[in-house]
Amino acid sequence: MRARRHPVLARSGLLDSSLAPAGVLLLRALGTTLVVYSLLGLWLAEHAEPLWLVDTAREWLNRALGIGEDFGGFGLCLLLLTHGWDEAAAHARGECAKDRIRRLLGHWLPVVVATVVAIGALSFGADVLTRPDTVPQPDLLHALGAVTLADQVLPQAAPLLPLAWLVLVQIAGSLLASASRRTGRVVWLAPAAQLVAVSTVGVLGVSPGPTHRVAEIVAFLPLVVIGQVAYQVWAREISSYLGTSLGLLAWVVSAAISNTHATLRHWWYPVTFLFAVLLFLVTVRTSGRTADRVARNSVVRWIADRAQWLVLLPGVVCYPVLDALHTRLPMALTAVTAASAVAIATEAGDFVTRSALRPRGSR
Amino acid sequence: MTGAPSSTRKGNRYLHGLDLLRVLAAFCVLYIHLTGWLLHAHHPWPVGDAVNALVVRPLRLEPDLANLGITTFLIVSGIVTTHVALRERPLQFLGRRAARLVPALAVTVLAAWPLATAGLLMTSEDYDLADVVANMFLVNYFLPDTPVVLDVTWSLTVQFSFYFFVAATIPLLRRWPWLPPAIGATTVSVLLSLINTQDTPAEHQLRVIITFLPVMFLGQLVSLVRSGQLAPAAGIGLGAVHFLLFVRATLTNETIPGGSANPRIVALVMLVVLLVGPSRGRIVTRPWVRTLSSRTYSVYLAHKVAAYPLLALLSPSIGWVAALLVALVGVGVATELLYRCVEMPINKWYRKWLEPRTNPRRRRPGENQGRARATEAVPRSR
Repeated sequence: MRARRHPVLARSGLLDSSLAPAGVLLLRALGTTLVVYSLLGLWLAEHAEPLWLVDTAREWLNRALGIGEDFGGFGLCLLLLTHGWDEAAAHARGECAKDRIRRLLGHWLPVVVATVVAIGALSFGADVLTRPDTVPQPDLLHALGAVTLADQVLPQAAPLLPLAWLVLVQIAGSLLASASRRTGRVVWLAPAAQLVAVSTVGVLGVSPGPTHRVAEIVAFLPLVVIGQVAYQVWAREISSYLGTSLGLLAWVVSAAISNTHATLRHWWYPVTFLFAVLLFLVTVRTSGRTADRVARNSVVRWIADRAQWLVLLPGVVCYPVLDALHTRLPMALTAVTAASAVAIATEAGDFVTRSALRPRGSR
Repeated sequence: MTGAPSSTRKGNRYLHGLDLLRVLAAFCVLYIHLTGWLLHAHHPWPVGDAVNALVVRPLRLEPDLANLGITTFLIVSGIVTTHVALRERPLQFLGRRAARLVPALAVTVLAAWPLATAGLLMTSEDYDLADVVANMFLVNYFLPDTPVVLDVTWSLTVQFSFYFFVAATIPLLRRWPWLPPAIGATTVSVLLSLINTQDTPAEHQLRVIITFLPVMFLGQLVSLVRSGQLAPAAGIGLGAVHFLLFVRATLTNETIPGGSANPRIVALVMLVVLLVGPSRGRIVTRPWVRTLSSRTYSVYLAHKVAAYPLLALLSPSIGWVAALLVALVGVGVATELLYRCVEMPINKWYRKWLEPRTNPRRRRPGENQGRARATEAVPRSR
């Protein structure tokens, strides 16, 4: 294996991918930024507030490229791809069970914090991003469902944190990757086994029933697999042709599931998946001095390292601020204020969880 | 994909991946025109149904992979011609392109004339000699009441326009590499504002040219960034401008390029070119890939002329499946004849005889060898 340790990425904390080229960090930052941007776009759409940037981007980029949801789905796809890469990189560097648990806790703890903030905001009557739009006054059962992520898959549950399915896919992807490594020394068997598992769930969830909602979420799991395969090709564990075949198979599985589920069909996810995968591969492949320079930027690193927080907190911090201020301040100023509130909440949450998860004896 | 980043000499490495992409593009063009004929003749075409169900609909592309092949050709052509332009003088550049492209075009149009007159090319026009001569030099697209003999030649008007622009800006390209694509963007932007009517053939064709020119500029930017002439950030910025110009052209005209999926196609092809272009794997370096790649221009010109008459004449007697197989063989034979008897001999003759006369300095022994090797860093240009 010819993978090298990257000086910038090695310093970048819980979500670091120290065996990755700078491009992976850039994509994580880009994916996160796009998710935040899309949440802003969603709020604007729901409140019929025009914003030149969002409207122009919709007409010139979203419609032209066929990537919907103001690039939100695209951003989440990039985060899943980078998660798959991190998973494979962690395995390659011999990550121990303790570190793996700590890494997964780092993904999950923002869900707990965001749930607490959401319940607090809702109890004060604030506007929080929920699906469906109106959630009754949350009780302990709601909180439990959100924290355990069960509300993402239970048929009748209303998710308190609509984007927490990302964490579910990340954790499921990591667990599936760990389990599939028991297939033995043949490296490509692990991603192939994961795809078989994903396809099985996808087929089981075609008809309405308890597995239907699981299958909708599972449609995104192949992206985690593609991220792993990309790493394996990059690290020369498998050939590029085998990697390409597995990647195509993963895209087919993902496209087939999204095509057979009525709720996913009209979102054009196969297009979004393909753009995300191609951008991911091109960035990893061409990552060079320019990518290194950008990755050294502290803002980029900050965003990339706090991706989980920045995906989950806007719905529960940004939305109440936007709701409270948009009638009093100009829209652009309101957006900046809301973004600042998210940044402060993110930094606070990240500081607390990093302190909690830091191994004993380390600074 | 390889783990090791490419070396500092990457600018001199042959882009094998472009060969493969050109072959795939030629297959796409062949596929859509054969599909077009079969659908026009009301034959069942299960391959077309499968491609539309498995690829076109999930990716929301144009039906029957329309414009996928031509977009790939334009981007690859932009890469290749910019690469050679950095090593040639303006007249030399134009002469070489003309020697490679024009004779094969003229011969194909001449061959297509009787077939088109007989209605075997899915056209129903009367052509006189003046029409044919105009078609041989693409002038037909700019003259009123001049029918098209071979419709695939429309894309050559885009390519020739790009070649003239590149030739005119070679000195700028060497000194300020960012300037020609920037001038190109400005010019296209102004022309998109001015030309949006299709009252005359000339206006229609100019609109076609300015719509697709940004696609070729995307290829030019790839070449400039890859060769180290342009910083990646500048390349990405200028590339975004050219892509948005293409989107603008799509948004402001209903029939050119025709179909809302075209910006998506350009973006996807661009990413695929960036990914596959530098590949050096087992498949892309196979000799047959390079052999097929060198014949893609001949395939592009000859496939309709060879396939349509065979399909029309044979399908009533031997059935469309057998006729299709014969047509494919016919395309292969016509391509090889055009390549071996017209395209390459004239190109070689031009390079051997005409160039030393116009440029005596290059007669000195050994002087050409370094440049010849350098131009091989990317696939041969047309």
